Amino acid sequence: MAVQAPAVVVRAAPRASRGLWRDALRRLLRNGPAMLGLLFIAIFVAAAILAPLISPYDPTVGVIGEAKHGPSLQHLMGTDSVGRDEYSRVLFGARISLTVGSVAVLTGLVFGCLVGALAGGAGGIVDTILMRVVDVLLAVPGILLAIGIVAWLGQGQLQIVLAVGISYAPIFARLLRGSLLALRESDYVMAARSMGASPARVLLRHMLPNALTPLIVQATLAAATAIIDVAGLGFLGLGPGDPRVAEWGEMLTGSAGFLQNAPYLIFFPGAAIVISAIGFNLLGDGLREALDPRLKR
Amino acid sequence: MKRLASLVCLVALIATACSSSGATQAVNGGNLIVGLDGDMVYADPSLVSDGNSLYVAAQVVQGLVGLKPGTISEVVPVLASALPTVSSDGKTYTFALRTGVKFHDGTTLDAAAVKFNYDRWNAYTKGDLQDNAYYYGAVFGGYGADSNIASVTAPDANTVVMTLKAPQSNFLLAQTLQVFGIQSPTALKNDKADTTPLKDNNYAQGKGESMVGTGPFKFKEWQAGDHITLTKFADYWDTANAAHVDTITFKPMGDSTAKLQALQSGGIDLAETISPTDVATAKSSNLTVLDRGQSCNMGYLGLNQSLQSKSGGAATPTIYANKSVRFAVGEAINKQGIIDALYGGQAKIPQSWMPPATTGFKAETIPGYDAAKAKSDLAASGLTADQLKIDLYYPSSVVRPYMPDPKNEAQAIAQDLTAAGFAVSLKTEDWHGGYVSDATNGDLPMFLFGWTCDWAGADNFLNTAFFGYSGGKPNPQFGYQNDQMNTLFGQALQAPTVDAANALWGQAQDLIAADLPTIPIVNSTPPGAYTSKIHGFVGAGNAIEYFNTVWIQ
Amino acid sequence: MLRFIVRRVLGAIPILFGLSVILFMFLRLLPGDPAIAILGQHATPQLIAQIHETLGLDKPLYVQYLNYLGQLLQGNFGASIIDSRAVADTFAIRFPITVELTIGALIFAVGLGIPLGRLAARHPNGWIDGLVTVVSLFGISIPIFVLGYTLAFIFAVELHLLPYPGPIDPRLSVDPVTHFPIIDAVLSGNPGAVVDAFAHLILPAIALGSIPLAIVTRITRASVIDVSNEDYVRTARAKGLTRKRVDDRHIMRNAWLPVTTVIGLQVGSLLGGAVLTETVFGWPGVGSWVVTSIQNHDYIVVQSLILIFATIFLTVNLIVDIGYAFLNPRIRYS
Repeated sequence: MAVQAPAVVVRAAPRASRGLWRDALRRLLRNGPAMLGLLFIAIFVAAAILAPLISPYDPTVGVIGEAKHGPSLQHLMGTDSVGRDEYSRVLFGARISLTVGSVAVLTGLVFGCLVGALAGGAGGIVDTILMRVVDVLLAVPGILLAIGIVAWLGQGQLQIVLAVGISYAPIFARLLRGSLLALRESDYVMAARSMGASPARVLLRHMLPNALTPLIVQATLAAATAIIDVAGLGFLGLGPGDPRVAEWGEMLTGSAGFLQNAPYLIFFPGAAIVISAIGFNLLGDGLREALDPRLKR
Repeated sequence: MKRLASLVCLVALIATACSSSGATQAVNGGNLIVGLDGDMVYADPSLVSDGNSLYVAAQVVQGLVGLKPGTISEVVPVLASALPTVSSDGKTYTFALRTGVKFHDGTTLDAAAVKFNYDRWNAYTKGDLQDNAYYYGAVFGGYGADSNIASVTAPDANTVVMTLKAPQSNFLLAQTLQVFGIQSPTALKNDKADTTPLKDNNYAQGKGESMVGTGPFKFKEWQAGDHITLTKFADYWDTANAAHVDTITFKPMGDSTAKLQALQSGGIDLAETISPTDVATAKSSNLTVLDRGQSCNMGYLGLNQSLQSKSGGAATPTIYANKSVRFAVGEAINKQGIIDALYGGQAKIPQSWMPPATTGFKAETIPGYDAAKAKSDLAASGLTADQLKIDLYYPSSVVRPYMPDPKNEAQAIAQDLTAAGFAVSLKTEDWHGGYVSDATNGDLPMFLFGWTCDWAGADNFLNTAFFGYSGGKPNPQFGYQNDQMNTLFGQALQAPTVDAANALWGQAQDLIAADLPTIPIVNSTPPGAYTSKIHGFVGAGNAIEYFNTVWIQ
Repeated sequence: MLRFIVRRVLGAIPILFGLSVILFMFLRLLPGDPAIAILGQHATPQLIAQIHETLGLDKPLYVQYLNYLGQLLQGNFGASIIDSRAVADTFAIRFPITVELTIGALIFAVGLGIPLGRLAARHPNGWIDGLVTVVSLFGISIPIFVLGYTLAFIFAVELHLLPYPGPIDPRLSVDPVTHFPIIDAVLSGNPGAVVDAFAHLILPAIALGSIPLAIVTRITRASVIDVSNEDYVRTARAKGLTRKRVDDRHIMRNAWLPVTTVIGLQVGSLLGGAVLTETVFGWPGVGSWVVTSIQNHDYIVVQSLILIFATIFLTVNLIVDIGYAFLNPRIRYS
């Protein structure tokens, strides 16, 4: 009777149980691109931790008379609109931006997976209702959804990050639920079920691990957009508040108008976001392949 | 006759059309594409108060008097043939009308038409019409029986007599606003221009015939959000100053980078404003940057001496009630540094609480940047460490001519205040989403704000925008009590002549400068720009600019 | 199948109703006031109160909602608080512009994304794969406004290759008939106008399409790799079928499924992305209208637009779901 939903990833590989994680780790370590991604992330994490030691200037205080000076030996990445050292700000910015990106995505994953697993696992009327709600949330432009959540939760760094994360949840929910529905009908799940495994066990042990591929792809992509979206809320006046605290997304959106007169103020924070995004994605790819036993070569 | 010719020449300040100037000859024809800061709101100029609608209206409708192009406060006759004669009690203004003036629908301007328009505005009903027609009510103190206009009469076809209940020193200057542009009574009646609600009002929505005035351009079409098109009016009364271009298309473009790039790529010919930080870029890419000359605004740091309670309780005094704290704040801020970094140099440090070209301006001594003195003044003020923790508010999602980059300006001021010894927290609210109302209700202790002149009179800044009392109490925005000042305001507003008023405004400015209730930061001139094909454009600091002089080559 | 469609359509009604309630409350919870947008710097408590009275904003929320719902049920989306124009009228003018932009972006994203994804999947972790990854990530991690300004700067300002801004040069005076810029250009019978309209579309379509391009590329790559490892593909290869035949007949037919899901989801974010793209490129579509309406707190316009967006999105996803049945015979709608 259930509305059989469309398959997202149709596949029929049962999962090995023991030694899996060790295998996966070994595959990950041998994956060149993934290690490059890990290196990118490691560099930024190091920058974030060491920022107070290696920053040449205070990232929050500038000299108005030295505003928007181009890159030089004194200021490797130039100075911003109120005369602060851009290099110090990029280093300090790693702290907030990396946290913001990962926390937002994790929030989205947690909420999305709860809803997606419930819908895909339970099926029937639960699925129908949850998915229609998800459809509605998807139809509201994400940034607007986030604005509403901020209005609801109040202003603040944490609220913003949660808001952006929650606005991603519907996409994760829909992806997960699609994969789960396809898996429900697959041979090995039916086999597990016929052998008397409980529905929860089937869901957690057999279906979820195999449904993660599209989620990982989407999540690693979202880590990059989260940084931008958080800054976008700041743009609308719902941001964390103190613009003196360095944060890449904010540094980038705040320089939107300087393409022609101070392009370095776009380039450096932009490059930091792009490189960390590439890092997250290469690592995500490696992770996905490492977790997929069929991809052994 | 000769005098008239030179007057006409003066009126329009057409450098090229007047024999006295310019070697190059104006070329007729062509379509001018103008990047407007935003869309119009209504196509009936009497129902608007926003800059975009007024910018378009200036091309289409004309009032009895106007401003000399390029200036912000020099009143010149337009549909009147000369400035009015004023009775000695300052209550009766007699205007002689120009003859041979045609409306865009072909009907003729006469005194009855002028009377019709003034009577129409005075009769605006409560609701949609009064809500949108801000200026009539603001200038005359209300509508109908509340209005300061006792009567408008037309003793003969070319004479209009306006009688006021009480003298009003800003009367003539305020009549230069485009909202007092005279429209064709025939068109207004035929198109049922007074229809409410406005969603059923086709005239106001520009769906057919709209803004039927006497200007050098007439309204053609308005596609909301996309463009407004005006065409040259063939029967314009001032033949010497008829339009050169065939059409003007106004394109609403809110985004400043988009405007700059549209100019550089030739997609538009002229931008009403560009971002001040793009001035150098524009100059280097062969664009002419428009110098608007006289500023007509003021950006300031607002200080509130008496914080209102949002829950309705009693107001609490703030540290800014202490005069030496206010002076310390004033001395701490490096205004020139801010002007150079964030205004592209397109602004000046104010010398009073209004820009210098304003009627009634008096230069005052305002504390300048002196970091050491700020420190010592603050130390002398005896504030505790806890009192030195202050909140500085700035608005988000907004750019104003006097405040092109509020977030960075707030950070720059915060740096200076921190150096002086304050511990500054930056706070922000959305401009429409609470900032304006919180500031004007007196809920913000220290805030970035400003004022764009409605008309360039001392009354508009000192009384309307800043320190005028309402209901017998100081403006809650600043909590600045100075009864002597407010008495002077009242006397100046009702002074029978402009000169008498100006003397009183001068005294008021002396009182204010001695107290430094707010910190004036800039008088800016928002830059505009145009491509090398465009000639003959005259800019003005209040953005009342006329395109009849513009030609394309 | 028909029953499935009918049920989905009927199911959409309570959802849209619920959304209208939530939206209504949501928007009014946001700090802000359309009266201030109308009054600008002249906002005083008295004038604000007067405007609230005129607009009925002083009435209890549930009364305001019922008034709005009453209008909606008569098929009336209300009128803007700021300029009094009927939402339906303005929508009819602006929506075609956004549709043209969205289609342009989708063609760019799908047309380029699928071949790129297949190319990358051919040699996973090879240098081509790496290059494709970097290019597509570039697209997704650069905000639309930076990409948009940069594209316009390079191709319109510096090289003068493509026109900017807007959907068509106003100097051509093309009469708006359908309000689709390209169709109107065709109807005007001026070949120059048609070329101009297409040229205006290229840059904003690339800017808007950059995020879906990255996603389509990545998902195509991932699902092609997935499918390539399936037994039946190995079997097909073992049977000695040509590479092209295996690619087309066995791999792509199955890999299409997740790609289609994502394309369906992207239609929603394209409408959202159009918000920024239209502002950057000066397109007078629905996106730039949302921006100004949110800034002005024009509640009626914002809530009606989101309801319309939601309806479109539900429809597109219904079509996508139906599309599955054709793409994958294993799915049956009971």
